[in-house]
Amino acid sequence: MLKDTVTSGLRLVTLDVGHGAVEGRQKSGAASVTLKYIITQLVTLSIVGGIMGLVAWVRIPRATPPLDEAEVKRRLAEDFPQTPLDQIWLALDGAGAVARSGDLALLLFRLGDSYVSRSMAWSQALQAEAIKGRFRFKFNDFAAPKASLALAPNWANAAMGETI
Amino acid sequence: MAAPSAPAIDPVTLAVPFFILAIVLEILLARFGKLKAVYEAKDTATSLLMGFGSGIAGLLTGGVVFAASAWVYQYHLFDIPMSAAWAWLAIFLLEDLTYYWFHRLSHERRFWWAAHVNHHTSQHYNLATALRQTWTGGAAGTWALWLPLSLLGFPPAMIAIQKGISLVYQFWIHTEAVRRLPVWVEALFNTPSHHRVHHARNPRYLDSNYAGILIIWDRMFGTFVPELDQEPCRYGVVKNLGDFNIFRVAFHEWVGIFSDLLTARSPHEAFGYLFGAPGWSPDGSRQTSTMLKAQWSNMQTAEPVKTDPAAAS
Repeated sequence: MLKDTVTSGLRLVTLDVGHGAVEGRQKSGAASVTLKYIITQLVTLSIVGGIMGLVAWVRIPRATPPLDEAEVKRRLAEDFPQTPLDQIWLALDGAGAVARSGDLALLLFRLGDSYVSRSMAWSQALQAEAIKGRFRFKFNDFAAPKASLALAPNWANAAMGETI
Repeated sequence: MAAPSAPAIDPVTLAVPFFILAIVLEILLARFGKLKAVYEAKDTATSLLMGFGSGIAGLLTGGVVFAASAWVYQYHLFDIPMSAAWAWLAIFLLEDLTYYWFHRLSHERRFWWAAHVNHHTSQHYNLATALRQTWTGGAAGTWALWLPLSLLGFPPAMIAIQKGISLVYQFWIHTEAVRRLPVWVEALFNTPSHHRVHHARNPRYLDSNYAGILIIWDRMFGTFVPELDQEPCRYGVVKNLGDFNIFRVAFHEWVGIFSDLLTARSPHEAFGYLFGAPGWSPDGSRQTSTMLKAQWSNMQTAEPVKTDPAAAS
């Protein structure tokens, strides 16, 4: 039965070849389908835009109070269980932190109203570039390429002076 | 009588106005404190744009998928009429069982996880999250799991309709607004509570509740985990994404696989990176769900679970 459908479909197409009027109708039919598709996509995008606007307007994200040490510890313990923290440096705006755990730096940074964490070598963390008052940490990770934290300008010097 | 090969109705298309209305309602009711829902602007934009892109990607592969289904149907073993009630009951159960295994495979093997992971990248759980759909599912080929249904004799149109019904069903369970449903519903069906667990990254909840419509498959195959009030779900993936870039959401795990394959030192390692559990590594330096759960379980033995109200906020 499927074969019949395909065969009859092919026959129709074959018969249509060379018949200008039919070809024209086919072309206008295809154009109409394309136009309908484009209109549908535009309408969909408009609706997406409308919902995005609504969400921005109503403002119902999670509360994101500035992080304190206890909260940093709690969040890092979720992502790095059984990893003792030697010291924590909070971002000045409370939107992230760097923690040292031996040879590792554990970073916590805000994304929207949520947080993301990553680890990197401590020595690498100390080399984070400072740009306009923020330290940029680069991870070798396509899923989270970088974090930007507003740490105290001398945090690295202080960290290097710290003994474990 | 020839069974129709193309579906006369598309449940997903029909449901689109309902999707939009439901999302708008959830947002507004949450705004006025009538129900629990959290929406963040960029996160919502990412989910909706992923849904939009998924529609385009689906168009590119949908023809191939349907053609494959129709081709296999030529060799069907039984004539199953679309007009029979028993046939719809059978396709409901068999499609849902197929979905369970598709979904389980999509979580437990990295190649298919790469196509599915984007659905889990939001740290929120709301109706918009439901639309954060795959762009690469068609290319990953998991649709092949449904081909045996065509071989059995279910018309491709019937399979397509049932797949659509399953997708529509799964939309409404992406919400925190519904706590628990009556016991018999929770026992039989996939519910918001069960699916919250599925989207959670707490070690206790990892790799569980793969159900589409019926939760009975998880109960049968040992992957059911109930939601516990004392352990609120933390949504997202084990290593959350660092930004809202939709291309990163869609392709990050594929990039990860490709990078790992470049470092593979043997066919065994290459196979492990491709088809091992997500998090697999030759030296065990990364953690799979099983390892994370074992670590968590050991910690629980030392220190029982504590109430963690802050995690819910």
